[in-house]
Amino acid sequence: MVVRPPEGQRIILYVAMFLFLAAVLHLTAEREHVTDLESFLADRLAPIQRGLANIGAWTAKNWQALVEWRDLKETNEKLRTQVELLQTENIRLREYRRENAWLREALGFRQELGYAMLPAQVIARDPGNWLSSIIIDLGEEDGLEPGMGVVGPGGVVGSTRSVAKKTARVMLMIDPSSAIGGVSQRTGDLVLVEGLSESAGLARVKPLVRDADLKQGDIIVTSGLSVIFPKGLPIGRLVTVTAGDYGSFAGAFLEPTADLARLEYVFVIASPKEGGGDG
Amino acid sequence: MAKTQERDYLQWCVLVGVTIFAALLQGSLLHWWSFLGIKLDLVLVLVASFTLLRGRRDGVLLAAVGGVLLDVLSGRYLGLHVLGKTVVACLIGLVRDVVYKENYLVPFLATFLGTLVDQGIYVFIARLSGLTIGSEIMGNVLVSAAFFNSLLTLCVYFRLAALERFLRKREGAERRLS
Repeated sequence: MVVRPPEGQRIILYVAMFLFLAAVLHLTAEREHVTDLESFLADRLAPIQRGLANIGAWTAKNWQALVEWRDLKETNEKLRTQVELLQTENIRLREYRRENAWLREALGFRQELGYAMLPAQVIARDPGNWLSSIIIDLGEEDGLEPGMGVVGPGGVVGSTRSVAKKTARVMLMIDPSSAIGGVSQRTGDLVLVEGLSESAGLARVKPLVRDADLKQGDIIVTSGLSVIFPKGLPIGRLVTVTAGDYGSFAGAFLEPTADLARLEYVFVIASPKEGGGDG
Repeated sequence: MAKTQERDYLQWCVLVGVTIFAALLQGSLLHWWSFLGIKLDLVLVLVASFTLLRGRRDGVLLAAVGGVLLDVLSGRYLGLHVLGKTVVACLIGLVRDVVYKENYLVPFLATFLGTLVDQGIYVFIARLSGLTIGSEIMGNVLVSAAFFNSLLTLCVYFRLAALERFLRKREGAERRLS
């Protein structure tokens, strides 16, 4: 049975303990040496303390990582989205740069030519492998009519055929039903340039004079004898010239100077007759 | 019964939609993905595949829809694509029941020969109409187009066949439940 001291004595006891601890703390605060007992206990407890400290540090570190992991995941997702956006932006900017270069080139070509021309975008192509035509985003409402010349950077592209209100079909010069009057820049020989097919991407060259002198690499330009193109526009370069018996001319094929396979924008010649010659 | 009809109608709408999309793709994006200057004929590939899978009636109808659209997009001779593709659907439909359709060679050869027939009719009529399609390149274009279309059919046909099997299985299950 525990005997509890009376209330008055308890208070005296607390005060005495407080004073004793205060005195011990005061007396040992500045000491430089520990007692042997203290030293022994400290040494024995050190490994346990180290172990606990390591566990604490490890837990703290990993807990921090665990806490940060969610943030990292969120940050990673944000950054990933940002990278994707920037990549898209980059692709778009590259596209603008390419388009800009193309338009600069086209503008130079337009100024060089000196005719009123209407810029148009290519919106579709013939779905087959034989006929070669493109659809442009200009039509009757923009003043287009069938039979207008169409050019692009590099030279002749073709001519308008069927014209709708807002669109027009342009028959390319490599279409089998296309024929353009041309002249060899080197010799001045008149030739007829007839389309071969979409997939071949070439045109057949037929000389209009008996002893035509045509060689591989010759540049053919518009002759100015038709009403579609002004004189002197580049049509293409001869890539194959075959000789017949006794060295006579058998046939030639021409590669268009305009890149017809990669047309994105073209110009419709709005005032061909002002130029003097017609295609 | 009404539900089956509704489902058939819906499947038809999807098929026609896919064919229209294929025709549009053929006249625009596909130009940029042409091989050796040869454009793939998506509509023909779909016509050949669906005729083998679902029969002549479906094939002819798709050929008509796709062909008309290609003719309109081409803006030249109306009926040129329709005729070629319809004939191909009829021919494939005739041999459909006597060939083993799970064999890889069947869709490949069907499209290869189908392309030759389709393009042959195209060139023949175009020549009759006065177009001078050069004989220098004709063989090359015909064979290359037939080969590329056939390769594409191999990729498309077996996926469509799997889809068709899945739809049939589901229809059967629904019928049993009802």
